Amino acid sequence: MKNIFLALLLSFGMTLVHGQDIQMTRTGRISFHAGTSMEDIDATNNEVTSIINKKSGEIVFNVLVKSFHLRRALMEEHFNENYMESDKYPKSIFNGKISNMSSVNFNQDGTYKVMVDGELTLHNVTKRVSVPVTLIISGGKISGTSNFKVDTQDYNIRIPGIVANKISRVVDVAVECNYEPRS
Amino acid sequence: MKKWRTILIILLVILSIGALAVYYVFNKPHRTVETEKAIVIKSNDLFKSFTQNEKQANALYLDKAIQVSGEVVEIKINQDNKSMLVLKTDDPIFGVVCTFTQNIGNQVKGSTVVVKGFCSGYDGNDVKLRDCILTGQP
Repeated sequence: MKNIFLALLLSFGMTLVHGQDIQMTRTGRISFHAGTSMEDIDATNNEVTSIINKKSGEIVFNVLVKSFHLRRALMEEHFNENYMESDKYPKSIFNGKISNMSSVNFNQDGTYKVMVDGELTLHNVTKRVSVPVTLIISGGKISGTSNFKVDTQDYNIRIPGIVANKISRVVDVAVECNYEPRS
Repeated sequence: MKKWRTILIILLVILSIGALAVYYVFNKPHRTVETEKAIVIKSNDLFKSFTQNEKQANALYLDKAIQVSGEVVEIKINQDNKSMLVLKTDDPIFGVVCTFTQNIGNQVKGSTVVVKGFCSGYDGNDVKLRDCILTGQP
């Protein structure tokens, strides 16, 4: 699928051509914490594209691995070369859907807790995941936050024994997106 | 006695050089686009290159310094207070997304800019450049 957005558009017919059901951001933020008490390893990517369809409940994330910034250049190099192999696998994709659509009313301001089920592709490995998401609707705009854990072993990311006390196998991920309707 | 002192001094010098080298590698600075020679290209050509053959485009542009010129179609400030510009392509929705090293202040939609940054690749929607700076008018 070359163009996920267009695919979404086509699969839901003409109503979406006007875009009123779709909100998007290109400045979504994903950060993770992979450190231990021995070492701080934090990374942030403020260049995440995400699209939410409030009619179908579909949520898509397109993340470029090389856009993660780490404190030390050397850490960033290791992250890209040894762990994520971002030359071979430059992108990470999440394709999901709100599983309990009845618990959110996109037309009414408020805070809603939902579950999003979908497929996460990381390091060229795709796994089904289910993550809790808090949606905030304010003045027609959607914001979403989520915190979840990713086990690097599930995605064939190998952490050598020599650094096992510095790098956590299970990584804490935080996501924050402020969507806007497409004009 | 004098011989031992010389050996000790030589050992100390070697050790300190080693320690300095380790310290430098561990704390080496991040890459900056200012000091790298860039591939010059128009936003639409860069975008087309990725949408037509992503693998080939990755080989050409991924992680390289790119100097791209194009028309500004969207202006945003990200959650880190840094500017994000979208440069126009033939695609009605997607383009070349440039995230800057800082907030670059007021920009005008419809104006043409020249941006230098590192290419993070094609995310399935847009082509993205990170750590960007403005390099003036075309």
